[in-house]
Amino acid sequence: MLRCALAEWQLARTRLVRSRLGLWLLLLVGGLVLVARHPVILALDTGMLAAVLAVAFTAGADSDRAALALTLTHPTTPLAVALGRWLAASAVAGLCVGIACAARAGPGGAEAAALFHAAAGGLAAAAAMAACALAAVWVGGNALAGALFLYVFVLSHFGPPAIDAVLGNGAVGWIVGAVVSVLPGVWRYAKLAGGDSGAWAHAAAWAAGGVSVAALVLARWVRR
Amino acid sequence: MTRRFGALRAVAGVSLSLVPGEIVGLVGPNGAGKTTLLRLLAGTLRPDGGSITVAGHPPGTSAARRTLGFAPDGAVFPPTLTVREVLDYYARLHTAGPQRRALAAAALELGALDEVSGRRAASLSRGYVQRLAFAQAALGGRQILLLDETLAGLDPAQRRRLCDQLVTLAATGVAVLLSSHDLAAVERVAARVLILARGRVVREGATAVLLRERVLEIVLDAPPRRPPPGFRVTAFGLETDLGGGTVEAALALCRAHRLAVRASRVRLKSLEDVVLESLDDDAAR
Repeated sequence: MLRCALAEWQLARTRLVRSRLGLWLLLLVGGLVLVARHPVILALDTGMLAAVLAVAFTAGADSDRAALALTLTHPTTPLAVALGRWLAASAVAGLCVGIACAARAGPGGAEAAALFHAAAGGLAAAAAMAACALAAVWVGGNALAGALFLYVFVLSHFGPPAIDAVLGNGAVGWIVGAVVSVLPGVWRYAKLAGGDSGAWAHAAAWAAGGVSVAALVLARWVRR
Repeated sequence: MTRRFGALRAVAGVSLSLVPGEIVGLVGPNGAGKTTLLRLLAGTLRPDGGSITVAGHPPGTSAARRTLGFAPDGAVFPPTLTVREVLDYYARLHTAGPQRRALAAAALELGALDEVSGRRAASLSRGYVQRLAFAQAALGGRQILLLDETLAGLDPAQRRRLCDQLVTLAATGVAVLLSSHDLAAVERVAARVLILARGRVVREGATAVLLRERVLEIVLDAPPRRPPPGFRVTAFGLETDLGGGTVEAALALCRAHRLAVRASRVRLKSLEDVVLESLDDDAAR
């Protein structure tokens, strides 16, 4: 199974250099390094947004989803394919987090410990977001990846109290609050760098759950 | 096995077995259920009824996928990979290390894809896509091949080459189920033919047996107003199945109907004759 999962890296590697994924990621990292004020937010934004982009480019396109049907006529499993795509997207996003944090540190290596913790949090957040995005794109294609990108970029910075304060206690406020509470979010994962066990458990649950759901979706999809 | 799509019975009570080294042709009109049948066997569709085993394994399991290769019509490959990388990617799912590279190289050679090995899969023409689909299906020395319209889109030389490869593979014990509208190619390579219509097998038999009937073709000076009983009108005159009758008796019948026979010849039935006849019989029922 591990061999089959690792085979999926080949797709991510070629996407990085042969599609616009590499360019978008460079722009994303460059832009966030320039504008982000706090290293934790820099690592989280970079990791989560890069994870969504990586999943969209390696698994969410119509051609990629169509190619899965043929892949699954070979001796692999939906779980191995989902695990491989998740690992590849997480690795790409992790690479972006590393580059962003290294660029932030500069040659002097200032704030090294804080940046290391921020990078670890960014990596965990990227893994959670990649799993979430993978399940989403295999259900609804890249339209959902676009929605997730906007969600991470804007909405996920606000926790339920902030949502309540802005939208009130109505149905819309309740729904948005529930979405923000359940989905991986910058507001929750900002505590990852500080070692908050609840945030780490949430990220781990999303990573495992998202990959499992993606595998189930794939299994149902290719064998109807 | 049976399979429905809503109210449509795509496959209705088809029973089929493949033996090692056998090439079976699957023919029939569009919508007959050929692709559905192949997808059921490949494990990408679940049957509503009946059971399928692939060398003793349920279809869709890892063991079955190791044994059975499927080349779907209009296969889609990971678009950013080159042809060589596509085969390498699939080879990784079978094995690792130097063996993987050997598998990919063998598949590249089998599909005669050397000249396009560096081109991206997304930019290939239909013929090359079919050849790549065939190469990935045969990858890993799989013992059962399901080929859905793999001969479509190939130029005559490539079609001949692929037919020869199928015969060579069959000689090594590989069982092939070939769905095709190219009846001449099926006639050439298939040892057995299944004719499918409306999800059912309407005729099945060894190719040699199906094609052993004789047909008498008669060239007339003028087209007949009405053909004699048992005769069909053709572009050049008439034709009839000889069955147990003689050429002389058939020609005498023509003369009795005052038809001016210019020439006649006896030929064996083609697969096209058999298929069209079977479909007509099925429609008449």
